[in-house]
Amino acid sequence: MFSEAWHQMRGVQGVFLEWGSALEWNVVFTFVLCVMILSCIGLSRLIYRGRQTEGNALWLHLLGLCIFPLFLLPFANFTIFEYSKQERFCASCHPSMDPYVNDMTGADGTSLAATHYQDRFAPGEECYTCHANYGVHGTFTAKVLGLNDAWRELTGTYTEPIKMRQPFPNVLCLKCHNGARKFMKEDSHTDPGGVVAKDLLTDKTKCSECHVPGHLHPERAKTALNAG
Amino acid sequence: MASIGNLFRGDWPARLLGAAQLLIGLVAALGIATVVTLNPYLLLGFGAVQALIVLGIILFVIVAMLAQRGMVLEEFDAGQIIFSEGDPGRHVYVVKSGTLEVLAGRPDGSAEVVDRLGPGDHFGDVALLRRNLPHRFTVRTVTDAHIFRISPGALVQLYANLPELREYFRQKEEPHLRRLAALRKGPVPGHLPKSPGDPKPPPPASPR
Repeated sequence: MFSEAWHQMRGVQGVFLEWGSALEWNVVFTFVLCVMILSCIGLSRLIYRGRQTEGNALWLHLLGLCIFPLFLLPFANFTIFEYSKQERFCASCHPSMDPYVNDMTGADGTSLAATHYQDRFAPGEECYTCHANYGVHGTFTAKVLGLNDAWRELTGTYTEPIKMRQPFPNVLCLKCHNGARKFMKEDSHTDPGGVVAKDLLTDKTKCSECHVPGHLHPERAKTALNAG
Repeated sequence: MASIGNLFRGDWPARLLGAAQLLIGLVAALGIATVVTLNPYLLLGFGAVQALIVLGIILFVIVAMLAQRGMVLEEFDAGQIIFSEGDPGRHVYVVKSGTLEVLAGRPDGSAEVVDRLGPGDHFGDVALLRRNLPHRFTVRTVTDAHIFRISPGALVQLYANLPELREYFRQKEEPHLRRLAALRKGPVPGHLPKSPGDPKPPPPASPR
Protein backbone atom coordinates (compact mmCIF):
# COMPACT_ATOMS: atom_id res chain seq x y z
CA MET A 1 0.00 0.00 0.00
CA PHE A 2 2.82 2.36 0.88
CA SER A 3 4.59 1.60 -2.36
CA GLU A 4 1.44 2.29 -4.34
CA ALA A 5 0.91 5.60 -2.59
CA TRP A 6 4.55 6.49 -3.13
CA HIS A 7 4.41 5.81 -6.84
CA GLN A 8 1.16 7.73 -7.10
CA MET A 9 2.74 10.67 -5.36
CA ARG A 10 5.75 10.53 -7.63
CA GLY A 11 3.48 10.47 -10.60
CA VAL A 12 1.32 13.35 -9.45
CA GLN A 13 4.05 15.57 -8.10
CA GLY A 14 6.78 15.54 -10.67
CA VAL A 15 9.16 17.29 -8.29
CA PHE A 16 9.82 13.96 -6.64
CA LEU A 17 11.24 12.71 -9.89
CA GLU A 18 14.04 15.26 -9.61
CA TRP A 19 14.88 14.81 -5.97
CA GLY A 20 18.12 12.99 -5.47
CA SER A 21 19.99 14.59 -8.35
CA ALA A 22 23.46 15.98 -7.79
CA LEU A 23 22.00 19.48 -7.91
CA GLU A 24 19.43 18.74 -5.21
CA TRP A 25 22.02 17.21 -2.94
CA ASN A 26 24.36 20.13 -3.50
CA VAL A 27 21.63 22.59 -2.61
CA VAL A 28 21.14 20.71 0.66
CA PHE A 29 24.87 20.52 1.39
CA THR A 30 25.30 24.20 0.60
CA PHE A 31 22.48 25.08 2.99
CA VAL A 32 23.82 22.86 5.78
CA LEU A 33 27.37 24.16 5.40
CA CYS A 34 26.19 27.78 5.46
CA VAL A 35 24.18 27.11 8.63
CA MET A 36 27.15 25.41 10.28
CA ILE A 37 29.47 28.26 9.36
CA LEU A 38 27.09 30.84 10.79
CA SER A 39 26.62 28.69 13.91
CA CYS A 40 30.37 28.49 14.47
CA ILE A 41 30.77 32.24 14.00
CA GLY A 42 27.83 32.92 16.32
CA LEU A 43 29.18 30.59 19.00
CA SER A 44 32.59 32.18 18.70
CA ARG A 45 31.16 35.66 19.17
CA LEU A 46 28.92 34.62 22.05
CA ILE A 47 31.30 32.39 23.97
CA TYR A 48 34.78 33.55 23.09
CA ARG A 49 34.07 37.13 22.04
CA GLY A 50 36.71 37.28 19.38
CA ARG A 51 39.47 35.63 21.39
CA GLN A 52 41.54 33.43 19.19
CA THR A 53 42.92 30.49 21.12
CA GLU A 54 41.15 30.53 24.47
CA GLY A 55 39.71 27.14 25.35
CA ASN A 56 38.47 25.50 22.19
CA ALA A 57 38.15 28.78 20.31
CA LEU A 58 40.85 27.91 17.84
CA TRP A 59 39.13 24.63 16.95
CA LEU A 60 35.83 26.42 16.55
CA HIS A 61 37.47 29.00 14.31
CA LEU A 62 39.24 26.29 12.37
CA LEU A 63 35.89 24.66 11.64
CA GLY A 64 33.89 27.80 10.94
CA LEU A 65 36.50 29.82 9.07
CA CYS A 66 38.54 27.19 7.31
CA ILE A 67 37.22 23.64 7.03
CA PHE A 68 33.53 24.32 6.40
CA PRO A 69 34.25 27.19 3.97
CA LEU A 70 36.69 24.97 2.08
CA PHE A 71 33.89 22.44 1.65
CA LEU A 72 31.40 25.19 0.82
CA LEU A 73 33.46 26.40 -2.14
CA PRO A 74 33.01 23.33 -4.37
CA PHE A 75 29.45 22.61 -3.24
CA ALA A 76 28.31 26.20 -3.73
CA ASN A 77 29.98 26.56 -7.09
CA PHE A 78 28.52 23.30 -8.31
CA THR A 79 25.10 24.46 -7.16
CA ILE A 80 25.49 27.79 -8.94
CA PHE A 81 26.76 26.31 -12.18
CA GLU A 82 24.23 23.50 -12.30
CA TYR A 83 21.23 25.58 -11.31
CA SER A 84 22.10 28.18 -13.92
CA LYS A 85 21.62 25.45 -16.56
CA GLN A 86 18.02 24.99 -15.52
CA GLU A 87 15.19 26.18 -17.69
CA ARG A 88 13.60 27.83 -14.64
CA PHE A 89 16.76 29.92 -14.22
CA CYS A 90 16.60 31.18 -17.82
CA ALA A 91 12.87 31.74 -17.43
CA SER A 92 13.38 33.95 -14.41
CA CYS A 93 14.25 36.90 -16.66
CA HIS A 94 10.84 38.46 -16.97
CA PRO A 95 9.39 39.64 -19.26
CA SER A 96 12.03 39.34 -21.94
CA MET A 97 12.19 35.55 -21.89
CA ASP A 98 8.50 34.89 -21.30
CA PRO A 99 7.49 34.62 -24.99
CA TYR A 100 10.23 32.08 -25.65
CA VAL A 101 9.63 30.03 -22.53
CA ASN A 102 5.87 30.04 -22.97
CA ASP A 103 6.30 29.01 -26.57
CA MET A 104 8.53 26.15 -25.54
CA THR A 105 6.51 24.90 -22.61
CA GLY A 106 3.09 25.41 -24.13
CA ALA A 107 1.15 22.16 -24.61
CA ASP A 108 0.19 23.11 -28.15
CA GLY A 109 3.60 24.37 -29.17
CA THR A 110 4.81 23.41 -32.64
CA SER A 111 8.22 25.07 -32.70
CA LEU A 112 11.41 23.04 -32.57
CA ALA A 113 11.95 24.13 -28.99
CA ALA A 114 8.44 22.95 -28.06
CA THR A 115 8.97 19.63 -29.84
CA HIS A 116 12.21 19.02 -28.02
CA TYR A 117 10.64 20.07 -24.74
CA GLN A 118 7.69 17.75 -25.19
CA ASP A 119 9.96 14.89 -26.16
CA ARG A 120 11.95 15.41 -22.94
CA PHE A 121 15.32 15.40 -24.68
CA ALA A 122 16.99 17.34 -21.88
CA PRO A 123 14.56 17.54 -18.97
CA GLY A 124 14.96 20.77 -17.07
CA GLU A 125 17.94 21.94 -19.10
CA GLU A 126 16.32 22.60 -22.47
CA CYS A 127 17.58 26.17 -22.91
CA TYR A 128 21.14 25.37 -21.97
CA THR A 129 21.31 22.17 -24.00
CA CYS A 130 20.34 23.86 -27.26
CA HIS A 131 22.02 27.23 -26.77
CA ALA A 132 25.38 26.18 -25.31
CA ASN A 133 28.04 24.63 -27.46
CA TYR A 134 29.66 21.31 -26.72
CA GLY A 135 32.38 20.93 -24.10
CA VAL A 136 33.96 23.16 -21.51
CA HIS A 137 34.47 25.97 -24.00
CA GLY A 138 30.76 25.99 -24.78
CA THR A 139 29.83 26.01 -21.11
CA PHE A 140 32.23 28.83 -20.33
CA THR A 141 31.01 30.92 -23.23
CA ALA A 142 27.39 30.32 -22.24
CA LYS A 143 28.09 31.40 -18.64
CA VAL A 144 29.86 34.58 -19.70
CA LEU A 145 27.11 35.52 -22.15
CA GLY A 146 24.51 34.57 -19.53
CA LEU A 147 26.11 36.95 -17.03
CA ASN A 148 25.91 39.67 -19.65
CA ASP A 149 22.22 38.88 -20.19
CA ALA A 150 21.55 38.90 -16.45
CA TRP A 151 23.22 42.27 -16.11
CA ARG A 152 21.10 43.69 -18.93
CA GLU A 153 17.97 42.26 -17.33
CA LEU A 154 18.91 43.66 -13.93
CA THR A 155 19.64 47.13 -15.30
CA GLY A 156 16.85 47.11 -17.88
CA THR A 157 19.29 47.87 -20.69
CA TYR A 158 17.85 45.51 -23.26
CA THR A 159 15.62 45.96 -26.25
CA GLU A 160 12.55 43.90 -27.05
CA PRO A 161 12.16 41.72 -28.89
CA ILE A 162 15.42 40.28 -27.71
CA LYS A 163 17.54 38.78 -30.45
CA MET A 164 20.31 36.26 -30.62
CA ARG A 165 23.77 37.74 -30.84
CA GLN A 166 24.39 35.72 -34.00
CA PRO A 167 22.31 33.37 -36.15
CA PHE A 168 21.75 30.01 -34.50
CA PRO A 169 24.69 27.92 -35.74
CA ASN A 170 24.04 24.44 -37.10
CA VAL A 171 26.68 23.02 -34.81
CA LEU A 172 24.28 23.41 -31.88
CA CYS A 173 21.87 21.04 -33.64
CA LEU A 174 24.60 18.78 -34.96
CA LYS A 175 26.19 18.22 -31.58
CA CYS A 176 23.26 15.90 -30.83
CA HIS A 177 21.89 14.94 -34.26
CA ASN A 178 25.14 14.31 -36.07
CA GLY A 179 25.48 10.55 -36.44
CA ALA A 180 21.96 9.79 -35.24
CA ARG A 181 20.41 7.01 -37.31
CA LYS A 182 17.26 8.93 -38.24
CA PHE A 183 19.27 12.02 -39.13
CA MET A 184 21.75 10.17 -41.30
CA LYS A 185 19.00 8.37 -43.21
CA GLU A 186 17.79 11.69 -44.63
CA ASP A 187 19.51 12.29 -47.95
CA SER A 188 19.47 16.06 -47.59
CA HIS A 189 21.60 15.73 -44.47
CA THR A 190 24.41 13.81 -46.10
CA ASP A 191 26.84 14.06 -48.94
CA PRO A 192 27.72 11.13 -51.18
CA GLY A 193 29.61 8.67 -49.06
CA GLY A 194 27.25 8.90 -46.13
CA VAL A 195 28.95 11.77 -44.32
CA VAL A 196 27.20 14.84 -42.99
CA ALA A 197 26.64 17.40 -45.68
CA LYS A 198 29.42 19.99 -45.88
CA ASP A 199 26.87 22.73 -46.36
CA LEU A 200 25.38 21.88 -42.98
CA LEU A 201 28.76 21.78 -41.27
CA THR A 202 29.72 25.17 -42.71
CA ASP A 203 26.34 26.80 -42.07
CA LYS A 204 25.92 27.41 -45.79
CA THR A 205 22.56 25.70 -45.44
CA LYS A 206 20.79 26.51 -42.19
CA CYS A 207 18.71 23.88 -40.42
CA SER A 208 15.91 26.38 -40.09
CA GLU A 209 15.66 26.67 -43.87
CA CYS A 210 13.91 23.29 -43.94
CA HIS A 211 12.68 22.91 -40.36
CA VAL A 212 10.30 25.09 -38.40
CA PRO A 213 11.96 27.87 -36.41
CA GLY A 214 13.31 27.20 -32.97
CA HIS A 215 10.76 29.53 -31.41
CA LEU A 216 7.44 30.85 -32.60
CA HIS A 217 6.69 33.81 -30.40
CA PRO A 218 4.71 37.02 -30.66
CA GLU A 219 6.80 39.95 -31.65
CA ARG A 220 7.27 42.53 -28.96
CA ALA A 221 8.30 45.93 -30.16
CA LYS A 222 8.29 47.72 -26.85
CA THR A 223 11.71 48.32 -25.41
CA ALA A 224 12.56 48.27 -21.76
CA LEU A 225 14.44 51.50 -22.11
CA ASN A 226 11.59 53.22 -23.86
CA ALA A 227 9.11 51.85 -21.37
CA GLY A 228 11.04 53.52 -18.60
CA MET B 1 26.03 48.44 14.01
CA ALA B 2 27.49 48.16 17.49
CA SER B 3 27.76 44.40 17.15
CA ILE B 4 29.59 44.78 13.83
CA GLY B 5 31.87 47.29 15.53
CA ASN B 6 32.61 44.68 18.18
CA LEU B 7 34.04 42.48 15.46
CA PHE B 8 36.94 44.88 15.07
CA ARG B 9 37.95 45.37 18.68
CA GLY B 10 41.19 44.25 20.23
CA ASP B 11 44.59 43.77 18.71
CA TRP B 12 45.32 43.15 15.05
CA PRO B 13 44.77 39.38 15.13
CA ALA B 14 41.40 39.92 16.79
CA ARG B 15 40.46 42.44 14.11
CA LEU B 16 41.58 40.15 11.34
CA LEU B 17 39.57 37.36 12.91
CA GLY B 18 36.55 39.66 13.00
CA ALA B 19 37.08 40.55 9.34
CA ALA B 20 37.32 36.86 8.41
CA GLN B 21 34.13 36.13 10.35
CA LEU B 22 32.34 39.03 8.68
CA LEU B 23 33.39 38.00 5.16
CA ILE B 24 32.62 34.31 5.52
CA GLY B 25 29.48 35.03 7.53
CA LEU B 26 28.17 37.31 4.77
CA VAL B 27 28.76 34.62 2.15
CA ALA B 28 27.08 32.01 4.33
CA ALA B 29 24.07 34.26 4.97
CA LEU B 30 23.81 34.97 1.24
CA GLY B 31 24.12 31.24 0.58
CA ILE B 32 21.21 30.45 2.86
CA ALA B 33 19.08 33.15 1.25
CA THR B 34 20.05 31.83 -2.17
CA VAL B 35 19.27 28.16 -1.68
CA VAL B 36 16.05 28.94 0.20
CA THR B 37 14.68 31.30 -2.45
CA LEU B 38 16.62 30.10 -5.52
CA ASN B 39 16.40 33.68 -6.70
CA PRO B 40 18.56 34.08 -9.84
CA TYR B 41 20.08 37.38 -8.75
CA LEU B 42 20.92 36.03 -5.30
CA LEU B 43 22.41 33.02 -7.06
CA LEU B 44 24.60 35.20 -9.24
CA GLY B 45 25.53 37.33 -6.24
CA PHE B 46 26.39 34.20 -4.29
CA GLY B 47 28.63 33.15 -7.14
CA ALA B 48 30.27 36.55 -7.28
CA VAL B 49 31.16 36.61 -3.59
CA GLN B 50 32.75 33.17 -3.53
CA ALA B 51 36.12 34.92 -3.64
CA LEU B 52 35.36 36.36 -0.21
CA ILE B 53 35.51 32.83 1.19
CA VAL B 54 39.06 32.50 -0.05
CA LEU B 55 39.91 35.91 1.40
CA GLY B 56 38.32 34.95 4.74
CA ILE B 57 40.28 31.70 4.87
CA ILE B 58 43.51 33.55 4.15
CA LEU B 59 42.76 36.01 6.96
CA PHE B 60 42.05 33.13 9.32
CA VAL B 61 45.33 31.44 8.43
CA ILE B 62 47.13 34.70 9.18
CA VAL B 63 45.31 34.90 12.52
CA ALA B 64 46.20 31.30 13.34
CA MET B 65 49.83 32.05 12.59
CA LEU B 66 49.76 35.21 14.66
CA ALA B 67 48.13 33.29 17.50
CA GLN B 68 51.28 31.27 17.79
CA ARG B 69 53.12 34.40 18.86
CA GLY B 70 54.57 34.48 22.34
CA MET B 71 52.39 37.32 23.50
CA VAL B 72 49.01 38.61 22.39
CA LEU B 73 47.10 41.59 23.72
CA GLU B 74 43.45 40.76 24.25
CA GLU B 75 40.56 43.00 25.15
CA PHE B 76 37.88 42.01 27.63
CA ASP B 77 34.64 43.67 28.57
CA ALA B 78 33.68 44.23 32.18
CA GLY B 79 32.27 41.10 33.79
CA GLN B 80 33.94 38.66 31.44
CA ILE B 81 35.52 35.55 32.87
CA ILE B 82 39.15 35.06 31.81
CA PHE B 83 39.18 31.48 33.08
CA SER B 84 37.17 29.50 35.56
CA GLU B 85 38.16 27.39 38.50
CA GLY B 86 38.97 23.91 37.25
CA ASP B 87 39.96 25.01 33.73
CA PRO B 88 43.29 23.64 32.54
CA GLY B 89 46.13 26.16 32.62
CA ARG B 90 47.03 27.29 29.12
CA HIS B 91 48.52 30.75 29.42
CA VAL B 92 49.99 33.29 31.77
CA TYR B 93 48.31 36.66 31.80
CA VAL B 94 49.69 40.11 32.57
CA VAL B 95 47.25 42.94 33.10
CA LYS B 96 47.93 45.98 30.96
CA SER B 97 44.91 48.00 32.01
CA GLY B 98 41.68 47.53 33.90
CA THR B 99 40.72 45.82 37.13
CA LEU B 100 40.12 42.12 37.68
CA GLU B 101 38.92 40.12 40.65
CA VAL B 102 39.97 36.66 41.74
CA LEU B 103 37.11 34.48 42.94
CA ALA B 104 37.45 31.38 45.05
CA GLY B 105 34.60 28.94 45.12
CA ARG B 106 33.22 27.86 48.47
CA PRO B 107 31.82 24.44 49.28
CA ASP B 108 28.31 25.90 49.44
CA GLY B 109 28.62 27.02 45.82
CA SER B 110 29.10 30.71 46.50
CA ALA B 111 32.21 32.60 45.43
CA GLU B 112 34.36 34.90 47.46
CA VAL B 113 36.53 37.67 46.08
CA VAL B 114 39.99 36.87 47.41
CA ASP B 115 42.01 39.32 45.41
CA ARG B 116 41.97 42.20 43.01
CA LEU B 117 44.41 42.64 40.18
CA GLY B 118 45.46 45.75 38.31
CA PRO B 119 47.99 46.92 35.73
CA GLY B 120 51.29 45.06 36.02
CA ASP B 121 49.87 42.07 37.91
CA HIS B 122 50.10 38.59 36.48
CA PHE B 123 48.10 35.42 37.02
CA GLY B 124 47.69 31.91 35.67
CA ASP B 125 51.30 30.85 36.13
CA VAL B 126 50.76 28.13 38.74
CA ALA B 127 48.40 26.10 36.63
CA LEU B 128 50.61 26.52 33.60
CA LEU B 129 53.97 25.74 35.17
CA ARG B 130 52.71 22.76 37.13
CA ARG B 131 51.41 20.24 34.69
CA ASN B 132 47.99 18.73 35.17
CA LEU B 133 47.04 21.29 37.75
CA PRO B 134 43.83 23.12 36.93
CA HIS B 135 43.17 26.72 37.86
CA ARG B 136 42.09 26.99 41.46
CA PHE B 137 40.43 30.36 41.00
CA THR B 138 38.08 32.08 38.69
CA VAL B 139 39.38 35.37 37.32
CA ARG B 140 36.84 37.90 36.15
CA THR B 141 37.13 41.44 34.85
CA VAL B 142 35.59 44.21 36.92
CA THR B 143 36.15 46.90 34.31
CA ASP B 144 37.08 46.76 30.66
CA ALA B 145 40.57 45.36 30.55
CA HIS B 146 43.50 44.85 28.22
CA ILE B 147 45.45 41.76 29.11
CA PHE B 148 48.63 40.32 27.63
CA ARG B 149 48.32 36.59 27.10
CA ILE B 150 51.71 34.87 27.16
CA SER B 151 52.03 31.50 25.52
CA PRO B 152 53.45 28.51 27.44
CA GLY B 153 56.45 28.28 25.14
CA ALA B 154 57.38 31.92 25.64
CA LEU B 155 56.97 31.67 29.41
CA VAL B 156 59.10 28.54 29.65
CA GLN B 157 61.84 30.30 27.71
CA LEU B 158 61.73 33.26 30.05
CA TYR B 159 61.49 31.02 33.09
CA ALA B 160 64.46 28.91 32.04
CA ASN B 161 66.71 31.81 31.14
CA LEU B 162 65.89 34.38 33.81
CA PRO B 163 66.71 33.29 37.37
CA GLU B 164 65.32 36.59 38.59
CA LEU B 165 61.96 35.72 37.10
CA ARG B 166 61.94 32.32 38.79
CA GLU B 167 62.70 33.97 42.11
CA TYR B 168 59.99 36.54 41.48
CA PHE B 169 57.41 33.83 40.87
CA ARG B 170 58.46 32.00 44.05
CA GLN B 171 58.18 35.11 46.14
CA LYS B 172 54.76 35.79 44.76
CA GLU B 173 53.53 32.27 45.25
CA GLU B 174 54.32 31.59 48.87
CA PRO B 175 51.98 34.09 50.51
CA HIS B 176 49.34 33.25 47.97
CA LEU B 177 49.42 29.55 48.75
CA ARG B 178 49.37 30.22 52.47
CA ARG B 179 46.24 32.27 52.06
CA LEU B 180 44.71 29.63 49.83
CA ALA B 181 45.42 26.94 52.43
CA ALA B 182 43.76 29.07 55.08
CA LEU B 183 40.80 29.71 52.84
CA ARG B 184 40.32 26.04 52.10
CA LYS B 185 41.16 25.06 55.71
CA GLY B 186 43.62 22.45 54.64
CA PRO B 187 46.65 21.72 52.54
CA VAL B 188 46.41 22.70 48.93
CA PRO B 189 46.42 19.72 46.58
CA GLY B 190 49.41 19.70 44.32
CA HIS B 191 51.28 22.26 46.39
CA LEU B 192 54.99 21.96 46.10
CA PRO B 193 57.31 24.19 48.08
CA LYS B 194 59.33 26.78 46.21
CA SER B 195 57.33 26.84 43.04
CA PRO B 196 55.75 29.67 41.20
CA GLY B 197 52.42 31.05 42.26
CA ASP B 198 49.02 31.75 40.85
CA PRO B 199 47.46 35.16 41.51
CA LYS B 200 49.44 37.30 43.86
CA PRO B 201 48.36 37.37 47.50
CA PRO B 202 45.69 39.86 48.41
CA PRO B 203 46.92 43.10 49.79
CA PRO B 204 45.99 43.78 53.39
CA ALA B 205 44.83 47.25 52.47
CA SER B 206 41.89 48.12 50.28
CA PRO B 207 42.00 46.98 46.66
CA ARG B 208 43.60 49.13 44.04
